[in-house]
Amino acid sequence: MRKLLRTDFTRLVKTLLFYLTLGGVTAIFYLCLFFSSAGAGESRGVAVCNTMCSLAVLLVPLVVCGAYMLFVSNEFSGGAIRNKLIVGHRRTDVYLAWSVVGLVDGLIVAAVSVGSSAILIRLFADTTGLSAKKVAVAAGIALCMLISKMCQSILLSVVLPGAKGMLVNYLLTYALLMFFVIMQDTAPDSKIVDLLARCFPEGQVTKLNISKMPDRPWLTVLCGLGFAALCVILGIHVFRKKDLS
Amino acid sequence: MEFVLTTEGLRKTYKNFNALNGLSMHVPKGAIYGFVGKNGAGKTTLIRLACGLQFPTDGGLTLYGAKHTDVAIHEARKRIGAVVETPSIFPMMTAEDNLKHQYRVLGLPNYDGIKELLALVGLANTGKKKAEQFSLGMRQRLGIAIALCGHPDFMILDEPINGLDPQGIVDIRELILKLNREQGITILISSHILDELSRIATHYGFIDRGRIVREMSAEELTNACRKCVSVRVTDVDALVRELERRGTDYTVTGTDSVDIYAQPNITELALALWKEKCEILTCREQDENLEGFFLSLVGGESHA
Repeated sequence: MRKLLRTDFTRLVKTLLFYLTLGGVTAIFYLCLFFSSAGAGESRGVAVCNTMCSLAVLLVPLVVCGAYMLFVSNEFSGGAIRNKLIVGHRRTDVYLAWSVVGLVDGLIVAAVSVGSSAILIRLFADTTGLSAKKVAVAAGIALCMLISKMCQSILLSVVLPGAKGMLVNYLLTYALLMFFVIMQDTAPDSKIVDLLARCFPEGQVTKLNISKMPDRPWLTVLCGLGFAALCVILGIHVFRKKDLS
Repeated sequence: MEFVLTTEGLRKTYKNFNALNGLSMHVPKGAIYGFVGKNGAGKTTLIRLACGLQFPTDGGLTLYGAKHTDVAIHEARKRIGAVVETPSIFPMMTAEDNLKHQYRVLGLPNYDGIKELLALVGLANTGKKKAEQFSLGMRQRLGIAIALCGHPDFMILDEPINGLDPQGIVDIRELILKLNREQGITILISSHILDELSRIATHYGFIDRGRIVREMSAEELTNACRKCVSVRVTDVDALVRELERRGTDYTVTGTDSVDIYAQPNITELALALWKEKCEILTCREQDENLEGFFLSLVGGESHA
């Protein structure tokens, strides 16, 4: 496992895509913050924080997970995955290494983009209207969403390696996002929809609001992490049975 | 005889298609085992199973004494290197980076030996050129270099000379012989180029429709392919006595048949045998090469 982690980390940091993702996401953060701070008047601290929150839950997972799917798919398309299995690495270890490296990749991008943006907001915007507790809860849910989305994406990369997997990932993201947004209005009291929204990363978006304290955030985090664990278990099961060419 | 890889009744089914149909094979330690079969006979499927890329539907596979269902198989696999179908490389990396990556996969403490490996396969001067810009032959060599990382005891090469130019074929042949003779590496090699295979293999396994139809040593194959006159007689003992008297090389192939490795004067032989009350029933000349032998084993019709 240690060997695989070292191998995957080294390959990740040597990949141009990693730096493009990091630079691209951070640049979009700065750009959006600049525009939202320019026209928000006295409450611009809250406005830029809301912008940052939206970007953290929508942009970071979508871009980082998409890029990481390419990273995993490369091993399948080039056949390099064979080199790991031929020399005796267990499939469970290979999958877990992908998961750990993927999560660290997401955390690095989130830490750099969200972290540096937060520092800029703290320095240049009035944040007196914001509650530290609400921001911490929002950050917790955003982190949980990143974890569950990453685990979901790695599962898809293994089930459908390559472009097919990425396409399905994006279609699934938009379809589920639409579903939960519509359901929020049409079935606000449905307990099943509420539970699903807390589990799926696309549903967790609807549970996040920096202006007011979300309902039972601990339950959202718990469901999100449970969903991530389920994706990992399912992914390992699929990968262990999968015939490779 | 000690075997590196053995399979017993191995089956692999894809939906309704039986790729392997009760395949049993034995790869002796220290051998260059030539794996011969038509397209779709099941060669690559067997190699995938041996490498742990796929799982058997039924039957057993043993690698260095570890069954494929045992936990010990993971340890046994650390002793193998393989090139399966296309070389497993990262196209965006240089040859050296690909080898470094494999060193990390193997958990080797340093990158010692990479330059030597590149020189061994003739890729020492590729510099910063990425693998995606390599020719098919160069990729094949890089695949072999990756398989050689970590000094394996057993190498599995699936069509390793595909796409190589004549010089490349000679280089790879010499490399395989060198690895086998100097480092004692057992090699399982599948190839369609039977003439090339016949220059290096010490053992053969002929596969057809997912089954091994015959396993034999190179010596046995040489005898089987040797130019001879195959004679059927009513009294084999009489024929043997006559051949011994003449000092002619022969093999008794059945209760009434003998292969004579010479061009005997048939009239003289017939007259000599007649004195012993032995009749010649049939007499035919046999001259087979590996290709002919293979076709006689598996039939000549082509597979779609």
